[in-house]
Amino acid sequence: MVTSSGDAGGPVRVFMRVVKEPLVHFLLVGVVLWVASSHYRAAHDDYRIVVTAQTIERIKADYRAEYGSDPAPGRLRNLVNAYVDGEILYREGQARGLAADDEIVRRRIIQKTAFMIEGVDTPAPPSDDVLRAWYDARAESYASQGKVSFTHVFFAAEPGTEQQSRKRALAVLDGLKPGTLRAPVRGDPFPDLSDFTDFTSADARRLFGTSAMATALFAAPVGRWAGPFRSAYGWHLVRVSSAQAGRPQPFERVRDQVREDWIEQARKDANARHLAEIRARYTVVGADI
Amino acid sequence: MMIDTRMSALAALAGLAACSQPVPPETPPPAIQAQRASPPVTAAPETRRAYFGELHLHTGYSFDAYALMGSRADPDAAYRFGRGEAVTYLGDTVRRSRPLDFMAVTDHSEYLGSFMRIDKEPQGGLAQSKGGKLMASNPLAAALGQLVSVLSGDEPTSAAMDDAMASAWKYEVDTANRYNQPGKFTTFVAYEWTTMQEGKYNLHRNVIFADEGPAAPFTATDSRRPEDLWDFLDAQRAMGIEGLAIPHNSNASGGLMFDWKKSDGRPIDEAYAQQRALNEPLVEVYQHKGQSETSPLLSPEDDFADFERSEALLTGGKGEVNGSFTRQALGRGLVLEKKLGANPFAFGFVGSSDFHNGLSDSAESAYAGNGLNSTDPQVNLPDKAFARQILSQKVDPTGAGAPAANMNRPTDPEALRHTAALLNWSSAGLTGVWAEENTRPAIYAALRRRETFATSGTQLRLRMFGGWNLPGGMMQQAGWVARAYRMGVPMGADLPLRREGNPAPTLLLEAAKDPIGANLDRLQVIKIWLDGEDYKEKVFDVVWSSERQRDPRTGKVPAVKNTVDLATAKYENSVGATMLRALWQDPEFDPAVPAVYYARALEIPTPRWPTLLAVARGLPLPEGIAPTLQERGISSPIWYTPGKGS
Repeated sequence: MVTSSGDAGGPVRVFMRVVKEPLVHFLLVGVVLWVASSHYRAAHDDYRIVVTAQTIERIKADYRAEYGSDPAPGRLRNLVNAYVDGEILYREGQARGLAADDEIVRRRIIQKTAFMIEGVDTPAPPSDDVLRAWYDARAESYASQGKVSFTHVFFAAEPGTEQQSRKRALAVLDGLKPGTLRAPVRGDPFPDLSDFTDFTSADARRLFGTSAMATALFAAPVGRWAGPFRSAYGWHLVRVSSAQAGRPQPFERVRDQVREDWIEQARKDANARHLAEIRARYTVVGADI
Repeated sequence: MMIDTRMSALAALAGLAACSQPVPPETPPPAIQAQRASPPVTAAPETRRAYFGELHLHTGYSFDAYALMGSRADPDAAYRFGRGEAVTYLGDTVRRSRPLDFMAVTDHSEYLGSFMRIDKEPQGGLAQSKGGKLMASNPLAAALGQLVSVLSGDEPTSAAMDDAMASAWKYEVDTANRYNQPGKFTTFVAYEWTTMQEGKYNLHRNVIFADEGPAAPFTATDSRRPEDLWDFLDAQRAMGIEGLAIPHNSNASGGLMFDWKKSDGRPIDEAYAQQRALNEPLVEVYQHKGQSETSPLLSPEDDFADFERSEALLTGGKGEVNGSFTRQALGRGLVLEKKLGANPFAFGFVGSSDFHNGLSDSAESAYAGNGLNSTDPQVNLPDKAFARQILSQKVDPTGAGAPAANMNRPTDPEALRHTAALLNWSSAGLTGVWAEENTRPAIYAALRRRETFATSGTQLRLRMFGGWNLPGGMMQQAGWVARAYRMGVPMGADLPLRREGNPAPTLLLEAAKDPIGANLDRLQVIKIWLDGEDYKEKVFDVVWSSERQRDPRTGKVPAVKNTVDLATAKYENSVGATMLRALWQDPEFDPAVPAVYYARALEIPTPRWPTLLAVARGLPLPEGIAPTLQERGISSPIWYTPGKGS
């Protein structure tokens, strides 16, 4: 084959062209970095996997838990090899930064860090003055629930006897005088008490379900018969003997609750403060929500 | 099952640790504590009302919950959730559908609080010890039992672990006491004693204390024999610390829970019978790993026995129905009573969750098959992909041959959170008690006298009295409950002494529906009586909703209509009854034959949790498992023994 070798400067020019090519620069730099980092990592044990006696014991314990006996020597060798393979893949993955995009790993680390942060600052026990100021600012949230004391007459309602039951209730209501203080015998036996003292709306929901009776009780007139109101079980005639609106409770009575709430809030604040301090080291940029 | 799989290995190895761990010196009797008892209950018995509670719940203080299931809720959060407050859970705000009346957190006493301590105090003594480093680097292996070998050989780990457990116990006790609000919300100092015989037979007990707890719990590391636990409880009682033990998951005990034998293999004797009856007045029959009332294999004539079955061992593999179910145990108790003069199986019934995420909710919708158990259906229902995984599992509807869940279990807590529970597992059960007030003394006394009922999670109310010569029409009158207490005995008791010439005993039965739940199908009496060296059982339909009549040819009451629409997972209270009430006299009574009776109330069919989940996520219903169930409650029994009586 004949080449045109008249141009003596040809190979040199080609060489110079290649040298000027950015892609080649990139590749060269990559090779240098790869060689350097390989040496560096080798020198720093990244390519050294030590299988300790403790590791082997752990592998055996896992096996025992699964199969109930120690692995035979051949099996154990395979398990150790599998462990080594796993460790290699783990390190290679780490080196390639695979953990960075993994939601499971991310959440696990968030959890661990959050635990570390929590409990760093345990708030000192607050003085009574501090608690009182806290209470004064939130007295309404320490008010007692509204309460009623009442007696009732019950009329069982089963599927198909709804109207009949209501009519019975209305007929009995007609005959009840304001002075009749209680009259459970005029109705059916109720599967709970006939008379209740200091009944709250939470008590009412618990016993009567989410029914008209559970709310009507708290709007019923005091000192006379009212109804019938429907509960989960049937119709009720009600005579409220006393009703008490929710009202503020003195500090002394709720001090324990106040202290608990204060400590809880102080703990939350401390955690938030701690997180804020760390957050201050970060810059957050991005689109507005 | 996930937990207990691990626990088995742990407990199997825990026996080893017992040899090597130093035994703490006996605490001197706390004389002052005994004086601190709350005031006694003085109200009349007819003022007793039904209160609902949870007596079996784990938090992140349980080693399995924390290390193996990724649970981070602590007892504080558990109590707050139980009393109806919103709590933050895995970044969501969740709330119980309605508050509980009483509650006990029962974390596993073994390694109590240790795993959480490692994460919370990475510079602490435990975290820096050999065992602590193992726990941090490989919690699964550590919890599986390798810790035991480290504990026995490594002094710093062992000491740091003792320290961690002591402070965790103090925290558990303090937290229970802090949340106890007499009249509003009752809590009990409690824990779970976690023993697995031969690494697979579940003999776990929850230990509940009346008021103050002991200086330290008696753990499975101290001993794996139930008799030793009772010795401990007897010794505590002598020092003024009253407590009782409640066995659970007898369905997975391989026949050991109600065996004829003691744990040393010898036949049960009188002393054993008395000690067990004193320390174990209750058994948990409903919880999320299956019911322990009976099996169709033991009760083939019972049309309703095929319910929430989980009859495999918790470690996988076939179980043994004989010796594993409470109805049979009541029968065996009669046999033993005749032979020994004492009945080791004279127990009442409770139900609970055994959930491991610290959140107890017994609603069917609050169980969605996730590995952590309780869910707030409004907030953290499994997403569609996870729901599909849960619902596409293969099912053995008897639960008899089911493999242990997650034999190829993941080790990552996040992955564990996305581990499906078996489709034949259940939503949580619940305990009902009849008590004068919502306080520790009143509720504990109800537990002690067995005036309790267990439900499969519903808040139906069930009550039973027994007596002689009770007048026929008495239940039609308001105030019948006061008369019933005067003339008879409540559930959990022995019938009064029978006088010569008395007719057959009468039972007064009353069931009221859950005020926000389904109507009732029927109310039954289950009778078990002595038959030579064996027992017999029979189910009587006593009263049922009015739209049906007993078939005169078969003597059976037809099934109630199933109103569930499987496309919408909704049911209608257009059938069934809101209340069922009846006086029943035993038609087959023989005064010479010992017998025991309990009541069972069934609800009309409602959608089971996989149906709710499938509909919520727009997925097909799972195959091979009933789409609906009849939730139920059973009362504690009433016993008749010739020549004896209360």
